[in-house]
Amino acid sequence: MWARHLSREVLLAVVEGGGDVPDREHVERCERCRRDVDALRATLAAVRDVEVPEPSPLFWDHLSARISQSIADEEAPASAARTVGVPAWRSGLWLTGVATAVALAVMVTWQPADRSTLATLSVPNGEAGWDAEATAVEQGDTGWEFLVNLAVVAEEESWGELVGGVQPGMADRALQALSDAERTALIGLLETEMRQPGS
Amino acid sequence: MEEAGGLAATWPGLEPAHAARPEAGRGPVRDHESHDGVETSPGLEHLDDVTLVDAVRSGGREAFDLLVVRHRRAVYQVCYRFTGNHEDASDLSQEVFLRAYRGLTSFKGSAAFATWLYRIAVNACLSRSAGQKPQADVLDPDRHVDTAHVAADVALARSRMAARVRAAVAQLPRKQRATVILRVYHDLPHEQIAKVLGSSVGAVKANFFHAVRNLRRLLGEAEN
Repeated sequence: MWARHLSREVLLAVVEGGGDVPDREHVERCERCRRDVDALRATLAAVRDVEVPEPSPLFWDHLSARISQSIADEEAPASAARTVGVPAWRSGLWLTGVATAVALAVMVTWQPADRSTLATLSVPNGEAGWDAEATAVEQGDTGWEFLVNLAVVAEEESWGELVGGVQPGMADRALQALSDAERTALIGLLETEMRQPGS
Repeated sequence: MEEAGGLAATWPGLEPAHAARPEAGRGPVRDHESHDGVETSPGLEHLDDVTLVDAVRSGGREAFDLLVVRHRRAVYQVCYRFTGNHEDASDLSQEVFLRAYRGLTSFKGSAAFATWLYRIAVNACLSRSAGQKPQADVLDPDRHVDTAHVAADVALARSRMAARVRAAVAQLPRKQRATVILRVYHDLPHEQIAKVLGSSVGAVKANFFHAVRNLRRLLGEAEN
């Protein structure tokens, strides 16, 4: 019989493989302390044996990407492209697709009324450029008018971002990203343009 | 499926409390090897955490990406220990790093970045778990135990025991639960745990002792 048993702090130290030599010797001789130590060790061993299931190897990179994206989302200024219900990337691609496709269509089909109009329009430089556009509209040039209207609409949807972000291959990607409804709308726009006199 | 390796050294920059453990042969997986999802500059990889934090404060976002790569496994494991399921652990891990990013200005560097991150993780987990019971993943021996090398009955017994232990840990009072998770599964020294939890070392030791005793009682009850 021992007059004094080990404190919980010392017991814990012994359980975790520490403790002073006299304390460990005490545990060897004292049945009650030894029972305590054995029970605590068994509990700890059972608890320690439970491991976290390893997630998919792809998970770690996915987690990093999510974190990076959430930080970027927080830092990015509220963009006009983020219209209600339409993700920003989708909105940008849609506009890029429309603008590029229409520009291509107009370039292929549009015949200027006369060379003087072409000369006026060929160098849209600052305010002079917009004056030239006004001239073209006044002259009833529907192809250019269509582009001007499109530009006005697109400007409201962050045209600057759109033009600045155009990269090779973006039009193809944008067209592939369009939904059926968006694709139908684009075809409608192009067909309308193609039906214009002089196309 | 391969289980997570020994957790002792999963948190870089922290010395494990035990030099050797029974599962010491299964070393931790270093996350630096693969991070295709977010490219980090190779030039940053030799920098320590504090230097990377300074770089982030100076506008170097990619330095934070590298901090994430270094610490994501440990953060996820802490979160998993608290929540008991992958989905919540994944969401919480993201939240922890987001909180860390927002709060980098408050990181003074007096403690290790890992300790600071642990504190955020534990606080986030405790906030999330307040008034909410952990939802353990559906018992799936194939997922939790390497059945290729263990007989089916042994695997099932281990899986059941694991479920009982998780349930018992989930029943512990908050600080006891946090202490057990940080001490047993992450091998943090008592002093480090005290810093994480904002307690004294004595309080941590007392919490740990009571936690283990409570676990012993809870596991005994579950057995009976």
